[in-house]
Amino acid sequence: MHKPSLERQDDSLLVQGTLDGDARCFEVLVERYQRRLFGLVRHYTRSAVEVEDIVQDTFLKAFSRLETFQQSSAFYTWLYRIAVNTVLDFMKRQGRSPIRAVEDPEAVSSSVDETTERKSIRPDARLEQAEISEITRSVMDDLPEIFRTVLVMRELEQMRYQDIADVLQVSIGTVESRLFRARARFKKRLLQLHPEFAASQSNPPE
Amino acid sequence: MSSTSPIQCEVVLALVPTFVDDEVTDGVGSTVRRHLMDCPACRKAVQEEQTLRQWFVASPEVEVPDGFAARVARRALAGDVGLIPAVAPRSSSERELHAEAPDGAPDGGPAGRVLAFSRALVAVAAAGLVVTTLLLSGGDRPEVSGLDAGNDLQEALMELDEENQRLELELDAASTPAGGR
Repeated sequence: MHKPSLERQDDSLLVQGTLDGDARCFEVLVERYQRRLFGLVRHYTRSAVEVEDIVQDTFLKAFSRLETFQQSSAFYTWLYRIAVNTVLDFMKRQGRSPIRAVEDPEAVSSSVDETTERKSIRPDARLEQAEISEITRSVMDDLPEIFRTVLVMRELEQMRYQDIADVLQVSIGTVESRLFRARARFKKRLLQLHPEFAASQSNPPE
Repeated sequence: MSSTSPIQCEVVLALVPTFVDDEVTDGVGSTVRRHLMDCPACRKAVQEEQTLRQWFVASPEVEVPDGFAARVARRALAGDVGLIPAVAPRSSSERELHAEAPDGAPDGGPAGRVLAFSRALVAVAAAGLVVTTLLLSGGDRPEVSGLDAGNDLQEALMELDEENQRLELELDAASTPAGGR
């Protein structure tokens, strides 16, 4: 009987194969998820070398802890959690955009700057996608990691709330709350850095 | 219109971010959509929310270096657990191992610290000896060969120097593993 190639195997079978000592099974898992992890990590650092180091470190950590992986959860969610923790550890060690403890989003009151909330800010139609991306990135670089991470997951990685909650090991309500505050922060900072994109109230978007 | 009463708008406005994210149930989504058809204010709030999302654009695909997966798999199988050191605090046994580094480095535990202190003491004593010798041999000073105090000081400094050298040798011997280097 024809046995399906490793590339077509489920994650769970590849994990089991890796645990049984089959190096090729692990290599297929890396091949399957490497692009997504490179995509995730590049939102945190512009250095290609650092991106590669962090992704490599993520896979090596995953391999060394594979026995602790619970097959009941998705392998990618588990891997993604390791990646997020690895990248945040890395940023912390580098002293870049540290998590500001005083800005615990759950502790901060729910009040949002109403002036900011009412203002509209949209990318200028003449801007190229790359320029918009660069502006967005510079604003996100200024956000506390806890906010940046949910924005990366939701807005750039298009993850569902449930998946974000699974990775961050928080409730969906917490994800909603963080996203709400993260967007408010993003908008406020964007208005500070680029007031030229603020739309006048008398000229609402179409 | 009844559907645009303030309370309902309040509820809809609270749901706007999850509605735009398509994270509400089908039933809630239908209710919100019905409300939006009759409520320009809430419709505007939805448009604002969608406008903000225009800033998050997909960037170009990432290039994964050739042979990355094979390289990582090889390293993993070889027992490599990562280039980036773990942030988690090390276990007490690891810390002890580090503290007991046998190279006698100044931060290499109690023995290393005593050794560093004794070396500093020897250096101070030697400097004192030089200064004393210079003072005692000054040409404009009276003959000191007969002054017991000068000789006593010199002898005391020499004894101190010898004592420190002995201590240093003992500590070196103590920090050398059995069998010698």
